[in-house]
Amino acid sequence: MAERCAVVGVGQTHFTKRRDDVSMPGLLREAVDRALDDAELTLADIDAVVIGKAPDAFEGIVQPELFLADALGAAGKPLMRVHTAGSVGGSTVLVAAHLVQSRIHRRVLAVAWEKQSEGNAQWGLAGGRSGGIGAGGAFAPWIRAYIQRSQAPEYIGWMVAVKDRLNALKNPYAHLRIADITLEKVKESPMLWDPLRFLESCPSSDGACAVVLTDEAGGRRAPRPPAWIAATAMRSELGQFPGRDPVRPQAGVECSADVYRLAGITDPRRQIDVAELYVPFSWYEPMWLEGHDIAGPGEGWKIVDAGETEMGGAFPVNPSGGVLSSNAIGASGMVRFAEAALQVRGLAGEHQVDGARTALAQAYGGAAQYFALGILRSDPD
Amino acid sequence: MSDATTGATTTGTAKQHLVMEHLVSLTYRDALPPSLDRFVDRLLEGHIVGHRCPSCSRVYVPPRGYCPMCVVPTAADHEVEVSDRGILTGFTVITPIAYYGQQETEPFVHASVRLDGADTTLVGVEITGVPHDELRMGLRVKAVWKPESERSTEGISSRGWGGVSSVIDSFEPTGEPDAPPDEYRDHVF
Repeated sequence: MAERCAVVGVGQTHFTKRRDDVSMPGLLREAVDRALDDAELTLADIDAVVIGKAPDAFEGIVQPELFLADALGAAGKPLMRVHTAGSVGGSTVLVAAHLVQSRIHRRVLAVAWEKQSEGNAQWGLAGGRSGGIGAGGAFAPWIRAYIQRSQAPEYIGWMVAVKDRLNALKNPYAHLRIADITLEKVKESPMLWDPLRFLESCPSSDGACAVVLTDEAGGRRAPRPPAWIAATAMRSELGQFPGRDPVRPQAGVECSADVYRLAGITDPRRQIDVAELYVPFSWYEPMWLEGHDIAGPGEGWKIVDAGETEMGGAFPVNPSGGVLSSNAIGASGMVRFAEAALQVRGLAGEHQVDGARTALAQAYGGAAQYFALGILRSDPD
Repeated sequence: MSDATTGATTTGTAKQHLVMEHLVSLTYRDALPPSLDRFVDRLLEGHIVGHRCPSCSRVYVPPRGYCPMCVVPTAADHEVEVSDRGILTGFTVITPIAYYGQQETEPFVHASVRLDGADTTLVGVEITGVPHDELRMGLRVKAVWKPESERSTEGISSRGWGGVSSVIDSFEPTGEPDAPPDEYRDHVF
């Protein structure tokens, strides 16, 4: 049987437009120091470091892992980088967890980040060429297909945009703070990638996230309640192939089926108390509710419409404000896991979901082709 | 600590180079695999070819030299020609965002077209001859070829993100009735 793995430390920087006051290593250390403080450990206690960020072209710094080893206290220790596009923060946590579960290491530090202000993600995504479409342009046709297929009213996207920004007001680390956001404001915001409007899209952020993972003994000794990793799953698929359904990718369906099975979940909508889903564009909330079988086909938007995904709803999604409120790309997937951990540890502060004991964390990346999912729980069993 | 905005330091020495302008130009020679090389030759002549998988019969345009679904190789004897007409299967209208090298300033269409006879789509094509607010999935379109003398291989790449825009300017409506959803819903990409 695999070793049990616990999240005993969580650290985030404040997400913001630009952090001119710190270097990239300094930004990472801010998150790392907070995670270590939370765990009451030091870098000397860490056996191995796993890091992840989105493509190097986003900041123009090639192979940053080569110059980060000393700042991350990894000199003389294993350090490896994970690379699965936008899902990378999630995959990085899972790789770190696997190192513990396989008993290779007892205490592993996982770090993910993006310092978008040092580069230009649009340039990076376009490969330096003219006519770049950005991530929104890539996903917009599939969002249109979802809307057409599900017959969802267009205000569903506005509702998610408003909900996540209101949640963000309760999260001290969130980037966007739009206290006066309304459906009307979202509706009136400029159309960027038809049918996606400006306020239905994520911001560009600087920021980092770190988590400390330990074996069972470490989890039981932790100074604060740990979050137990009940199950993990990763899947990928080709970005394009005949018959591919980019609206509800098969890799995502199989990834969630796997993580539910491993966690003993048969009715995710009722057995999961809170979910942190990777929603960089508003419509991805209903799309992932369906894409991960939390709602049936064509039913995801109805759950949103009924208010079930709000903070006080039956299935709260992204109480942190989500990617729609903070998007340091590489970090975003890890923040989903960090926030899910905070929820089941009861340490989420003002955006705590009452009584959360089982949380779903999800990250996706590339052409919606990489998936990293985890179930985190308050109890080890 | 210095102030990154002004470059002021405690010694009074100006630090004007905290922001580094570093523009790099790289020239690549992209070695095309034989299947793509042949595709380009035929494209420049005004023909669109693909490979039909001997196992599942799916037609890949451009030909990849293999079927990624069946994981079997395909070669010249699997070549088929497909139509330059097809169906608009998915699209968005892009508001260009400024970045170094961006030349687009006006909203443009980013669409996928499934050519008749193909099982794959051409991604990232422009649609012309129809107002943006009349675009729809299922629209029947045809290629608008550049004059032979203006065709080039500039946009062709073996690394993905390439396109056929250096040979085919855009696609425009044929005027035929729209295709039913069955013919495009599995080809949104």
